[in-house]
Amino acid sequence: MTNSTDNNQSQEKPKKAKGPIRFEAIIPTILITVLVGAYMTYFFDANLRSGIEWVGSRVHGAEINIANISTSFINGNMQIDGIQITDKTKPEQNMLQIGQIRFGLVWDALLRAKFVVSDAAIEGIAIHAKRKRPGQIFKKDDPSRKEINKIETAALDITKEKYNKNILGDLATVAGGVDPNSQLKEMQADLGAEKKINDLKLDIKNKENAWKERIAQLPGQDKFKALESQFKALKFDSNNPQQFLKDIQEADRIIKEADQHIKTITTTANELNGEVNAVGKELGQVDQWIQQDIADLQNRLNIPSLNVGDLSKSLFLNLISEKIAPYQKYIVLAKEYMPPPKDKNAKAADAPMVTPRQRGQGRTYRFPVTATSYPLFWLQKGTISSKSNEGGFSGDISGTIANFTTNPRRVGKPATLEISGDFPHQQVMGLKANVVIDNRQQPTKSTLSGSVASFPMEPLVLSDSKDLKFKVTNLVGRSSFAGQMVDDRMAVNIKNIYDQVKYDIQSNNKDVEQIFVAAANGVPRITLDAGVKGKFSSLAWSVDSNLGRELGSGLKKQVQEKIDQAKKQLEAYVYGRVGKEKQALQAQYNQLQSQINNQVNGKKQQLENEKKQLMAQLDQKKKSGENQQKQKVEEKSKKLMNDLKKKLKF
Amino acid sequence: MGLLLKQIFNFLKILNSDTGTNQIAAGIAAGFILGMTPALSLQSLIIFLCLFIFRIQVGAALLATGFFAVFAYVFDPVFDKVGQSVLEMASLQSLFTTLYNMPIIPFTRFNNSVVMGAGVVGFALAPFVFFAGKYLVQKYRKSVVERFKNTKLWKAVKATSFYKWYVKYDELYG
Repeated sequence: MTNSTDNNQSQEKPKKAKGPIRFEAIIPTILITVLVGAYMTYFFDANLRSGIEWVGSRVHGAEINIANISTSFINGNMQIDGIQITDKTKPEQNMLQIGQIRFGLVWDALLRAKFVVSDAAIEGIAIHAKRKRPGQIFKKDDPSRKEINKIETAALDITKEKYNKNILGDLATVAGGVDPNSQLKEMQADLGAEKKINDLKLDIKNKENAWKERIAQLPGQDKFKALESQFKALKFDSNNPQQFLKDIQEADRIIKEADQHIKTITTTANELNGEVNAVGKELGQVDQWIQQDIADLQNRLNIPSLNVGDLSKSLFLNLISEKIAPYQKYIVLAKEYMPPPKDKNAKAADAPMVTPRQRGQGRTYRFPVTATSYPLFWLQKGTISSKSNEGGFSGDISGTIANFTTNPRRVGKPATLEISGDFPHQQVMGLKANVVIDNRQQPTKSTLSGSVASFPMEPLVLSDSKDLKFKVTNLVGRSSFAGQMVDDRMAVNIKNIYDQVKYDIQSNNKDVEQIFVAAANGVPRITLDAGVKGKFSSLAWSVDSNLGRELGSGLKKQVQEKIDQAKKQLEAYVYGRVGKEKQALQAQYNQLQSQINNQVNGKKQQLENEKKQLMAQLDQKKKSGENQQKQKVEEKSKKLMNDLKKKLKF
Repeated sequence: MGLLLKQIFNFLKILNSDTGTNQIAAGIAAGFILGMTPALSLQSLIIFLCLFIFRIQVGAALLATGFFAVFAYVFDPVFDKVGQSVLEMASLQSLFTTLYNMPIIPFTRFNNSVVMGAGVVGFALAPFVFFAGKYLVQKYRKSVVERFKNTKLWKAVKATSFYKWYVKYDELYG
């Protein structure tokens, strides 16, 4: 058995030595290459399209579709066909539709892992084109939009300066006659001031007890009397100098003890006076609470304030901010992806405080740049061109887009977008826009200017309440806008004019209808000037419209008196409910204040007087003792002198 | 991970066999260069490509990379100094400027002092590492493996049917 095994082993052919190259790796290499090639040819474009659609839809908040993407790595170009961006407010139509985008990448940059588009073409631009099916709208709480939601919420917060959306309806209600008293009776509203006054009364009651305890613990009349009797017991006998000195020391101790008591009372008095003043301050807020209650009730009863200046804001601010807010996120995103150069301090602040030493940090040398240097992404130039087709939604648009880059400083030119043209099908004519984004250095500066010669607008519903239906129709407007943003401060002005508007005003109360019709008839042409300026995080809006002004002045005569009357009724109602409580509270406070004054400050005064008397007596005793001793010394010296004279027989 | 472990087992097998001394030594030398290089760069990819194309013991290369990476971490200041002196050589400035402005080449990160220093030291010492590795493998086989093969324990293991089954399995599927 053993022999056979040995024979088998000896029969084994010696293994052929393998050469230095792994020829067996050729097949796997070819296989991998074919697989990568097949993926790039058949799947990459589709995956890229899905990726762009997914990300774009989430950033925009509504479905974005791309018909086709074709890329060629060898030619370094890309073509995107049929981009459809769903209108968030009308999902059945596209906000913007682009027929085709073509661009070629510069190979020299690609070999440096940079993406430089030397020339791009954007064609077939259409707005408000109908979609084959309604686009998906993403909800606010969609988890896939978590990050973009934060930016959007921040942008919406900017326009949180909200005004009464139904100002005209409320004015109509008041104009038709309103009796707050009957509504208040039904409402039986809780008043904040009432509750706060009760809380304050309870608080004062509790404090009063605590304060009384503290006052009771203060040194009283008995202490003063005891000190006084101790002082009176001292004899200050100058014939006995030793006893006289002891009495003086004892008197000093008594005065020091009196001092200690005075200090205790002073400290307590200061503390109590501080607490009483704090309560007094709270008491001073009662009027504010009452005014707040009146304002709240005014809101709850829909009694408007007729401020002519604010009427334009109330009518149009929500409309404007709702149109502008969705685009503010793109400013934030532009700043993030087209960042200005950071200053040294910011760089230092970004650096982590403590990091483990990493390999390969060393020192990186920069040699002179003799060839072209590229940023990570750079769209050098793009041409926008579009021709309208009969019955289609495309516009006659031309323009250029240039120098959009991830590193504006390196490119050394600001990003620009110029566009002009018409959308005949949508009756949007004379569109001109010019955007310059200059992020080359701090502070960043962006400017925007443009105009639209004519554009239609959907009817504007300014009130749809049961008391008033106020609609503006036949809105064909022209608009111009200009603004700039320096760092995070922006200032934008928009001027809109709507010619030959028509009003559709209806009210159950014919008098009210007449008031509004008369006011509106004086405004055949609506002008709307809106401005926004300030820091990006806290923008201040200004809105002025001749419609707001005319309505305000027209309604002022008829409505202001009724508003004032209703407000007076509200004030009477609130003061009627809390007036007595307020007076009682004030009386309670005054009584407490006088008690503190009498008891604590009186005690302090009394003890200080006692102390003064003791000190005066002590001074007198000291002086009389000194005088007696002095007299004795003088007498003794006289006697000695006389004795001496006698001895010397003078 | 399985592929990685397989390469390391192959290395242990070949280390304890009579063949493949040059493969192992080349693997150690390649691992030495990879371990010296501070980060993933173009030269690292080229070494990986060499491992794939040429018959270099991949397991040995991987183990050597791990070992020399720790070693290189300590010597970073030395590489930094060497790199600085090379990059600051006046006679090479025009060459570096040309390379800096060429496409692809900057991916080697040659303009970083530690990368340059580690590269210079790594490539310069790689032949010595190769021969030292070869010598140590031979020495190991002679002094450790041969002695172990003559022990009674190993002879007893070789006599078991399990070992014979393993040898057969290794011939067929190993």
